[in-house]
Amino acid sequence: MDKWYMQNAEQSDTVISTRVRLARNVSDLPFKSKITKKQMIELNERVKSALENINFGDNSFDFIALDSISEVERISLVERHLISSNFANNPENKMLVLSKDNSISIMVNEEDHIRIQVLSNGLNLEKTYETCNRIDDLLSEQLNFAFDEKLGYLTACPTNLGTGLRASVMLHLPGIEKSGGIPQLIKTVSRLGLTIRGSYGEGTKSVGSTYQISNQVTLGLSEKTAISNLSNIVAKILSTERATRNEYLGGNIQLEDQIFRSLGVLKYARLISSDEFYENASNVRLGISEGVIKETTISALNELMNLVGGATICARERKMLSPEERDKIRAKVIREKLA
Amino acid sequence: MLCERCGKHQATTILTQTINGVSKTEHICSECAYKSGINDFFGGFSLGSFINSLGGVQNYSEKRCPKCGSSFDEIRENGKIGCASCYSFFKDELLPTISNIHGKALHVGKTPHGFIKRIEEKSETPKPKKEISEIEKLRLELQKAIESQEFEKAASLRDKIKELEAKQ
Repeated sequence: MDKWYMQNAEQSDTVISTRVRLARNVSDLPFKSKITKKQMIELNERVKSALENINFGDNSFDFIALDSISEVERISLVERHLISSNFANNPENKMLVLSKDNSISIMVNEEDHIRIQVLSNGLNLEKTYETCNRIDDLLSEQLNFAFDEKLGYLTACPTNLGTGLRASVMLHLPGIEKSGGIPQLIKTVSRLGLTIRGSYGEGTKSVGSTYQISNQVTLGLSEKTAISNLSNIVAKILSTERATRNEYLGGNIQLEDQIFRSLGVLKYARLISSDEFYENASNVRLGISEGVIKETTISALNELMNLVGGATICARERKMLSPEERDKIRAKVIREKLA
Repeated sequence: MLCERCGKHQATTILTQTINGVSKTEHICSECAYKSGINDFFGGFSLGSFINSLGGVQNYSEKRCPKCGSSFDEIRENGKIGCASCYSFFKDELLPTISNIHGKALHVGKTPHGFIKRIEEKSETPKPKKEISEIEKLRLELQKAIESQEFEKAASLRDKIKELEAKQ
């Protein structure tokens, strides 16, 4: 089965991926700060038995005891956005439920008892939420979730109370970034109850022009409203991004030069750090989206993003590598993919 | 160059953080970068300090949740609630924080399997309809503004709502 990032994507000229997660806790066990070892193991068993007999066709689940895999494999899961670093750092008695295509990952015993996450390629908010919702329904039939009529789903941190829903979209915004529009965008978005941040670092400068936008408010808004608010604002940002690109790209030989130089680096370099990859892949992505580069695809870049993380490379090679060794293998993987 | 934090490994990441306009740059290794949670797709912000500032200086230590044994001081300290019962037990202490984060402290989303029935059984007499408050009116307008993509208007409505909420 193709991994999620190889599947069909909408609006992939400006959107990299969509993620939806739901936070849930069972009503009869203490939350993370008070839960005992024994109770954690019991919770893993309960979630496992609730999901074990459900037929997801080809996309069946693996149940992974987090302390049964190596540290480098755990960091690789973080690099591929499948688990949080907090979850990876403290693996004792934790369980990850992962679908074959990696689109569904359920962290058991994270900050909340259960974190259901669904990832999709490109912009796909409604369907991604639907999948997440379906898994929540299935779990809810077997487990008694902590819920209050007024406060909604009860969570370990009050920021997630209510729907427990966090929906986010990873945007590629080189146009707005080049035109200096990011600070204004951040200001406007935060006034609308959403947050936006550089995907590979904090603050206003992001590696590879990628920005993650997500809803902040979870109480007093239905899931549907939260998703449609986000969706409307993303649509607006994307139209601004496209307009800016049109303005900047037409006959801009410097930019075209930059795009092709980046393609050159990715195709021929012998050592590439991960930041260098992200910066150049961003230019190439822009080139493909705008029809300047025709010899490779966005899908190939999306696949590379999931193959070239430092820990992911070490995990594949089954040994710890020095930064230079990693850079060498990374360059080779990229070269072969783009050949 | 060696990592400025652990001094052991080669620095591969340049971390620039801007807090309140002051930028600080560090060269760190990938292990330290990973440990500090950079690149964490899941990262949010911790609420511990937030709850702390709202809890004031009162001493709550004598009161403990009968189910999990948490005191409000513990909750303030780590920003995490002890168990589901804490929410009703420390309701008065937590509600101001909750309203501060979300504005409106009333859930309108999904209910878990089997819960709808429990509410229906409880509410035999329908509640009289309340008049719509000024804030609720503004919230409806905000919703409309977002739907029709009038973001400038939405932003100013949101500011107004914040102002009114602050007065309450």
